[in-house]
Amino acid sequence: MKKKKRFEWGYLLLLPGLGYIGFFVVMSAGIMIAQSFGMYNAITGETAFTLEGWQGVFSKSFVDALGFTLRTSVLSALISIAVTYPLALLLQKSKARKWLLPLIKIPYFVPGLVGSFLIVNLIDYHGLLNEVLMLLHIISEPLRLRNDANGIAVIAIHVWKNVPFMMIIMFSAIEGIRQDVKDCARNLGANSLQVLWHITIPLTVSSALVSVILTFIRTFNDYAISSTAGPMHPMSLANLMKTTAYSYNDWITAGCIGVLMTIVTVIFMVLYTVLGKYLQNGGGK
Amino acid sequence: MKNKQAAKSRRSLTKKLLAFLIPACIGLIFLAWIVVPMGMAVLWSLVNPDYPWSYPQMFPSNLSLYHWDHVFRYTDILGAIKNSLIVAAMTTIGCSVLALPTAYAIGRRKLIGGEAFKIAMLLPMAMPGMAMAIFLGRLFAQWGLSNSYTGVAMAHILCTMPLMLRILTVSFESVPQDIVDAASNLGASPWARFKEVYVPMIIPGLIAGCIFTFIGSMEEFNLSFIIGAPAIQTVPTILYSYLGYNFLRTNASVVTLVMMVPNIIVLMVTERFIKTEYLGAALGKM
Repeated sequence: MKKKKRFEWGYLLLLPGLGYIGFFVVMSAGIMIAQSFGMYNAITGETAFTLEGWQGVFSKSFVDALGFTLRTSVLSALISIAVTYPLALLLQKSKARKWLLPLIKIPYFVPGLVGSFLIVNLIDYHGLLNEVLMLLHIISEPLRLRNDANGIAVIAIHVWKNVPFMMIIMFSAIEGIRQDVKDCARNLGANSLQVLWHITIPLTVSSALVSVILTFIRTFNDYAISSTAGPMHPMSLANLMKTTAYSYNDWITAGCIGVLMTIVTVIFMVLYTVLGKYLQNGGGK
Repeated sequence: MKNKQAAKSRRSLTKKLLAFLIPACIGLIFLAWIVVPMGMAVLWSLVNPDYPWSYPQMFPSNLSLYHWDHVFRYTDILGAIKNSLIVAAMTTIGCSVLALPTAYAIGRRKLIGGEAFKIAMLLPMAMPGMAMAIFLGRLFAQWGLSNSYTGVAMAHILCTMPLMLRILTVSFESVPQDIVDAASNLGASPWARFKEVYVPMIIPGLIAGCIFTFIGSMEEFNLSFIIGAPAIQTVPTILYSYLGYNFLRTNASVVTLVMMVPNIIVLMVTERFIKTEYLGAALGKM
């Protein structure tokens, strides 16, 4: 009897946290899915089942937006890890890390839009980057890097913002390697490059993957940065969804775009979860 | 012998060179990362409107505080900072109150399906921010929660909950069972066990969780934009308006610099308490 009572208490305690999350996520996902089938209309309030939205969702602007969003988010995630990994390894060895580490965290703590403005300043038509390149005679005419169709500005901002975030994860992963494992390898005659290649990298590569996936999810779903520094066409998916809903009042298509974005995000969250499990079980050792 | 010494001195020379080069490299990267962008913003904010800063000049020819004065006089950026702080405080309190019992249950009670609950914590992360904002916004509009502190804070609690729950669960899990058992053997009541054993041991995690929640709420854009704006302007939404439809580089510089202040203060004050391991442990592992 006593055991049963305790058992029930435990589940009740889940309610404030998980119940809250569950309720609101299920509600908003439910509205989104219902909306994509034309039910529970935002404007007229009428409910009529229709497949109209799903038939028309793969329009040119959607396909362009999908391509743009995938390209910028994949590139941002890959460039970020390419910057972070060596920097974290260097920083871990350096004595300067005590005061560099808190400073490098600044971009993680300031709003993404601050980064958006700061970076746009640098790479604008007559921004610092173009001026310096002109001064060095590398280019003869300023490059158009902001609001450009390739989304270079968007990628630059995401990298600026996400490197510190990755740095926090990677740094704790590198710090987490026990010193005796490295000492052991050194005793067995490995030089520092071999230690790096055979110990540090294998033990931290799954953390790197985790941070790449998290960064990808963040940038894939980004609205603010790509709508301020990105091109008008193609838009990012989040921007397209919001514009479709609020500017074109086409809530059915917006619902469809939302469902598709959620599916992509869920797939990557599952990947992240599986990898996280592998990490916890001491994968790679 | 001589050869050996030469090799040794060569090695120590490379070592010295490396010891100099590595911090220098990091310093340079850091300079490009933080100092240059911020310096540019400071310069732009100080441009005197009577002496425009245009193409061939590397630096503005005349500096003034005109734009600072203008922005503070005609826009409500201090109001936006106030709104952000109020919402962030409400979010942090609400989130920790809601997360504590759940994290305790998942971390300490041997519940059937504990692993599944740990994954369920991540649900809000599996939904794109904008999609959540738009469709949750419709629900909130119906309930009359739009354009209110409560509505924005409730939405923020939703998106900051995963990290808080993860950090607290890890904290609860890492309380050694021996100590809890010892306390009960010595006759501690459940309340005394909670107060004397759990509380001191989860406080660091709770502080870290609160800091990440506070920061997360301060920089959340999508939900504040859809649910709060235009009545509740927070730091990110007012910045958005300055970068979007009324973009004026000089004024935007002032707003950007001012908007950075609260977050950087939080970072500086709390730096000692934030063990980066918490974020690593909460996000890097399951």
